[in-house]
Amino acid sequence: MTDSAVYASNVVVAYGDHEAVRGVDLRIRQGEFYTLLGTNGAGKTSLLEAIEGLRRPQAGTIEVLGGDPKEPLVRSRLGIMLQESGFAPDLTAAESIGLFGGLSGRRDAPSRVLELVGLENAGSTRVANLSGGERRRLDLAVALFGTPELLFLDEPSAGLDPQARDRLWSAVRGLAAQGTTVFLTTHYLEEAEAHADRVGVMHDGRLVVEGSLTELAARNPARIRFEVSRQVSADLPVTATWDEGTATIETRRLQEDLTTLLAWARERAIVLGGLSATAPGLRDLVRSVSEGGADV
Amino acid sequence: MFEIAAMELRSILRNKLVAACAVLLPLAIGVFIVLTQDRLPLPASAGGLVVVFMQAMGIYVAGTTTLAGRRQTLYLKRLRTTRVSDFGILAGLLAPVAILSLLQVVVVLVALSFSAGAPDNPLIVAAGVVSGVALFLAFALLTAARTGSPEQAQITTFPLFLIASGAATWVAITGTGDLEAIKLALPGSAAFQLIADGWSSSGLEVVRLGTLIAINLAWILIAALGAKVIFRWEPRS
Repeated sequence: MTDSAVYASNVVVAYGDHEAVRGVDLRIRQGEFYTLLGTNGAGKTSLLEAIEGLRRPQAGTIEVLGGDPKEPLVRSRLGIMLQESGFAPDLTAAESIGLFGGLSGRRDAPSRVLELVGLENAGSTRVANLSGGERRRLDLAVALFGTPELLFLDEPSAGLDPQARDRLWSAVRGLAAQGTTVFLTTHYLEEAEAHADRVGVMHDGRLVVEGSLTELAARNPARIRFEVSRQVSADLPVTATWDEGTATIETRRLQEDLTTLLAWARERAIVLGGLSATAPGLRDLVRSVSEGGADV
Repeated sequence: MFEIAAMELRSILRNKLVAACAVLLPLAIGVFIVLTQDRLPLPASAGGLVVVFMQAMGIYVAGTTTLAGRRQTLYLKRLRTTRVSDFGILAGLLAPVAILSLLQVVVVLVALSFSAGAPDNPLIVAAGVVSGVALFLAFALLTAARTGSPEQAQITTFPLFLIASGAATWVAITGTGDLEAIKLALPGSAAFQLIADGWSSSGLEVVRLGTLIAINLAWILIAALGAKVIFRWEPRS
């Protein structure tokens, strides 16, 4: 267990009668970039906050970097960017970084992390006068302070403009390249596809699917779409579903079925309008999971 | 904890409204009592009144407001992501109001010594002041546990503010000759009586002092244990 950055076994988090997390097992290796996906209310934040030691689970075991996440020695190795949290409005950005950086127990220069998130000119601005996006960047700067060994990011890019988002990922990638383990939750599937080594999908309090991007992609069929008149469709060589004049073919043998289809169209000189072939992606997986149709 | 306290103090001093509530209001009450102390039927009671009123305002109301505000803006939640213990966080946030209040109380009590005569036993007066600090800090924690915002704190702190300052005023005016047990059992009056006893050497019995300290300690324990059970670190969702 100690070689894992995060080890969770049968974790249950409940609010009154409502179980937000219902028995989750999770293991994240040191240096891994792990992304947790799921719909709103799936239990991602509750699980993450239990692992961070902010929420006491009703049942289960949690170990972070080989210890209890509430232990000061473990805490000082964690960078935590919560989904929502606040600063003292009357303190400046640099003072806030200095305070929370100091409280993390790590050493760093506030100016370095401010620059990392593009706030180098806002150091002397009071937090009350920062925009929502700037505060979010300050959140990130606090989490990055002193290069933590394990970085928790709970929907870090929500509310950020594209440029700030690029900075965020470049800073996080930089940290990951130095060996920091990253545990990310996000709604943006493209972020998971771009950065994650491994992805888990939560639904209704359970971790229902988990694997590398390639493994997960293989779970769902690829899709071929085109428009063609109904008359010529009678002898289509592959099975399709129809919506008005648009045919959709779901297949696990994309290359073979596409070849068959194109050969068929060429023989008959049929034009397949708006032809597209899409490899399976996370979007389909998350959708099928949230609709309860995942084969787990 | 010290870093939290230092930044909290800086934050208080930067915000004029908060600084005025934490410093000017209690100071004004204290000065008013000192200026009118010669009208009190029991001369030794002015010091106790000063302390209870100033601490009820400067520690209890200000401390509850601080914690409610820090919770509402999720600052408490962020502090909990650091390696500082829960106790350290609360101590760091409440230390500045306690220290500011203590400084003001000392200034006003020194002024009172000049106008009404110095206390016979300053150590017992000091014990009364410290008892009051601990009592109102504990009640600030308890009340803050059920206070959603700084604005709400003006309402939620009202009952205990009234009870403590009312109890002190009641004892200050009527003494402890009758209904002694009831009067001294009220929160705040034990601290008041310690200071009154220390000011005039009339009541320097060990048993009485021990009883007053024990009563105060009992209230502190009740408030602190209650706070431990119901305190919330995040706003209700």
